[in-house]
Amino acid sequence: MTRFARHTRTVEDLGHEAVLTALRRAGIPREDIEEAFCGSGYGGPLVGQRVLRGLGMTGMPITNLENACSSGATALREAVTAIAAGRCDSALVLGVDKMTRFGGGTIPLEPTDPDVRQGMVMPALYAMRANRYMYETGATASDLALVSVKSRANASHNPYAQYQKPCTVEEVLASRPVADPLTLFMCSPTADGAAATVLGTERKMRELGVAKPIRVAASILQSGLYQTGARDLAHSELGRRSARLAYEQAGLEPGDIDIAEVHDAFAIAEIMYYEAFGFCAENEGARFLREGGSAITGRTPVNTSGGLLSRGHPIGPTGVAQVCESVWQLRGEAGPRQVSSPKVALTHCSGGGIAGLDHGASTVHILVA
Amino acid sequence: MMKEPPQQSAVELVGSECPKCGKRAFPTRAFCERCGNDAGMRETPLSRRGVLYSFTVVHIAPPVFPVPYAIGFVDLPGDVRVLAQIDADPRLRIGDEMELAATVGGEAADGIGSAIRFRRVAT
Repeated sequence: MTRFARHTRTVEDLGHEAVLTALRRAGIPREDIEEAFCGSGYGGPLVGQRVLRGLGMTGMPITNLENACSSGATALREAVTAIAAGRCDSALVLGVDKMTRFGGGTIPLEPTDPDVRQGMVMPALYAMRANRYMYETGATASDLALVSVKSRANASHNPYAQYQKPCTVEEVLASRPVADPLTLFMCSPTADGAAATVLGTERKMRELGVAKPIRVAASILQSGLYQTGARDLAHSELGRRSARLAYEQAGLEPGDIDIAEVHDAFAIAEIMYYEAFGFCAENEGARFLREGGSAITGRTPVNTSGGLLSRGHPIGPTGVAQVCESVWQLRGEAGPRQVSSPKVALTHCSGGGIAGLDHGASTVHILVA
Repeated sequence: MMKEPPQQSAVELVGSECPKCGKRAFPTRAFCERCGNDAGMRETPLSRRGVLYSFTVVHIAPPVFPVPYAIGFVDLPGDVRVLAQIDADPRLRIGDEMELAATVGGEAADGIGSAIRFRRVAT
């Protein structure tokens, strides 16, 4: 993957770096890639072809997927499905986006959406989650700030992260207000970047001589339920459902997860997902965080990369970047942020804000060393 | 004696009610997503009063919305939730009783394309 940052480079150029790095690390010649899947939220038409033509990787099936913030992870699922179906022995998964093209501010939402026409922006949705969560559980803005502090601390050891400077609770709370109670440091930044990974059958991995292949033990995509009435904003039904299906598919339980990369687009989200994924009991998320349960040295380290808050969140690549971090952790290649010999990793992306849905899309993958 | 005085303006939100399963929804629609009925969806005026489920004051938004502004989810009787702009009020709390203040701009009776405003009911 590329570092996530405000790049002056093109989508194609960012994509090239990510793809070439992934091919080199996998030790696979480009001619051996049989299909490619590209996730992008805002990259425009035929992003995959636009990136891959410059690398001479055309002619094969190239599928472009948009599922908001889950676009990259949705591409991953399609690759998993294609391989599991026996359609191909190897596939490239690419996520790429360039969010600085919009100048900054909140990510563009669908202008015809009824909630968007009332002034809904993504930070507002998560801010209302946060206010409701704090109302129901007694958690505080300082708890939200702790998510950002942990995120920056982890990212300070991640050369791919957009923000690598540690910060304090006081600095988080004093940063510019975005949507109360969320401040700037509690919101994922505007980023550009690309991430790629190579998938293949076991046979293909052996043929390539991959030393430490990582197995995809679960690949789940769900969508939010449309509810025109009451909907619980303080707990993620969609996240819980996606994780339950992933645990079932993998034959694993929450206690088996050694590390997790979750969709902390805003600080409150990470706390909600501790609960939704069963890392702690319902309404205990803030306490789990305060007690260090999600720290690199904790029971279930979450977002060792710095997550969306600090590694950055360029939309399309995010779900693929989570896989990169998980693979490095599972192989013991994560440097100073390395968790002590993890065997099972969970990655999760939740995509999009449209009226009546918890979120548009939700993906959970479980990777096993 | 009337329980509530009639409002001076005819401002109200119009939703749909399914003749088959009774499900109410806002804005209006021709298909009931709960029971699958697509015949005879009725337009129905919604209560002007509801309860504030959650809210936020927004400080960064597209230029079309001058900041800061408050928005919130208001739960109306009959399991209908409406996202609305909320009149600024430092006393605003989750669980507050709210009333429809106005629908601003736009010609559509369903409120789409206009700003729906609720305000805290003075107590």
